[in-house]
Amino acid sequence: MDRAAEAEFSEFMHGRWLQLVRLGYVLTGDRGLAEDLAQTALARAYSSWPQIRRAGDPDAYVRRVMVNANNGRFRKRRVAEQLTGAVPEPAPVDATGGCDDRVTLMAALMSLPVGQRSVVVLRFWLDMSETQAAAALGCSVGNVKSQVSRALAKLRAGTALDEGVTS
Amino acid sequence: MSGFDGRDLGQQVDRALATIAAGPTPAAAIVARGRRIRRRRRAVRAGAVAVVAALAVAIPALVYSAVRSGPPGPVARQLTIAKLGPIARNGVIGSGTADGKPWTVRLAGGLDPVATAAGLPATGRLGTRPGGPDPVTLQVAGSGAQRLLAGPASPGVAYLTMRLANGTTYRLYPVAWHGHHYVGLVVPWNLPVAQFAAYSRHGELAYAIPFPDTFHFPRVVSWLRPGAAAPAVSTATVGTGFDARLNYHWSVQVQIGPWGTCLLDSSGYLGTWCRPTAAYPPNAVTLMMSGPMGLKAGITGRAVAYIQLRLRNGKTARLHVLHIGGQGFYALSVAIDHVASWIAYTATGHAIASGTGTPG
Repeated sequence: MDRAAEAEFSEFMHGRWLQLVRLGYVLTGDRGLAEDLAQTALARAYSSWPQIRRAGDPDAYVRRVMVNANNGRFRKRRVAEQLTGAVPEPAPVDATGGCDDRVTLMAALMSLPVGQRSVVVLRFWLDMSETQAAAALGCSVGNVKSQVSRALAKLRAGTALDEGVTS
Repeated sequence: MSGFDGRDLGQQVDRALATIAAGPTPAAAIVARGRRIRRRRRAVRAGAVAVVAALAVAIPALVYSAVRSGPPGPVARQLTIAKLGPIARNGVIGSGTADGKPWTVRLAGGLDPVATAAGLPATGRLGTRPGGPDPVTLQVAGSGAQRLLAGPASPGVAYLTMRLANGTTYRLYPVAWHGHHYVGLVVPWNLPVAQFAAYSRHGELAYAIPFPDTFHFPRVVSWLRPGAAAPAVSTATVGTGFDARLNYHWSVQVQIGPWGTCLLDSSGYLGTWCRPTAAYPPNAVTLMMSGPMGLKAGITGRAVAYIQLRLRNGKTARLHVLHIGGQGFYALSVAIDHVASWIAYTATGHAIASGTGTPG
């Protein structure tokens, strides 16, 4: 990779780090896994940066890598995901403001199966269209629609989100 | 919930995540990992035939090795540690297998490096030398089924031993990188570490007993002289309470022992925080544990009997200090910015320390 591409990647990496960690957090509910997913996505982007740059949408690429890597955790290792927020390592630099909202929301999101959670995050947090979400997840638009419908129904029925979202 | 739709959820998540901070971008680790991926991809493309040929050669050798040495024991299958040369090549300071899969610990990021291993979060900056007189300073990172341990070793350390709870002992040899010495390894989470010991060419330098953490993160903050008796274990509950904001019962425990002084939150939200057991100034008030649930805990000197909190709403609250082995401990759960100031008092009511915000 030439110097200009290195500098461009460095700017991209520093500019997206926080956003990607937050995406990882909302996908996994775990700060360590979130940072690891973000590292994985950026490392893969670095390894193919010239091609990704030519394709013109590096953000879409790293998001897709993160979603797929998170889904892969379940496919490959059969991870038994814990639905509590109990993590072994402390989060030393976390701010405390808005924590109660976050705990409630994360508990609600973590109660969704990983596929439904990914669709909800892409559609409503990243504001993707159904077509974009389908492309990012490698599934059909119909599948996205049905996953969204099931996820929202589950969230509406969940008592955790009742407290956190309604006013 | 009737008015809720997906857009509400997006906005709620957006607001909630705005409170999440992240550490500095681990640029060096990301680039190093990206380069490894690229090298691996190129090697696969260019050398498919060579790999097949190498496998053809290696398989008889592996078969011979297995026949000669017999089947590995269950622990050996779970963890092996290779002895590397004295100088790190390409930043590699450790390699072996865990749960049958190869692991490699690499340093990246210049003279104050981080340690990385595939599939695990990187450690923080390791520095170049252990803290104080310690023979080794170990950082631990990990998630899921494995833990990454790495850190700088004193130049006088010839090797370390690591004894697992099941009695199996491994040797770790420091590897030089940019003129400094490091050890690094990956341990499966279900193989808890019972003890580390550091040796010079002439004998044992020190030993350390990691805190027996529920999640098997082997925290090492205190090294003991060889032959020194391990300090007795003391355990007590520092404080308990109910946080109505979060509908959350909390409880903070202190465990003092050969590992040092560790505070742990029973809920697991804040994990475990350890420091060497030390003699603090009599009027000291320090903050040790602080996390997103608003739960805070700390250590005081022996003269502090209680801490008076002045809250933003004008009320006051008294915080009890628990004393064990010459150290005082306190814990509280409080909303951010809810405490305006604090004053520490002796048992006879003399104010001996004060500050603004939460204690410490």
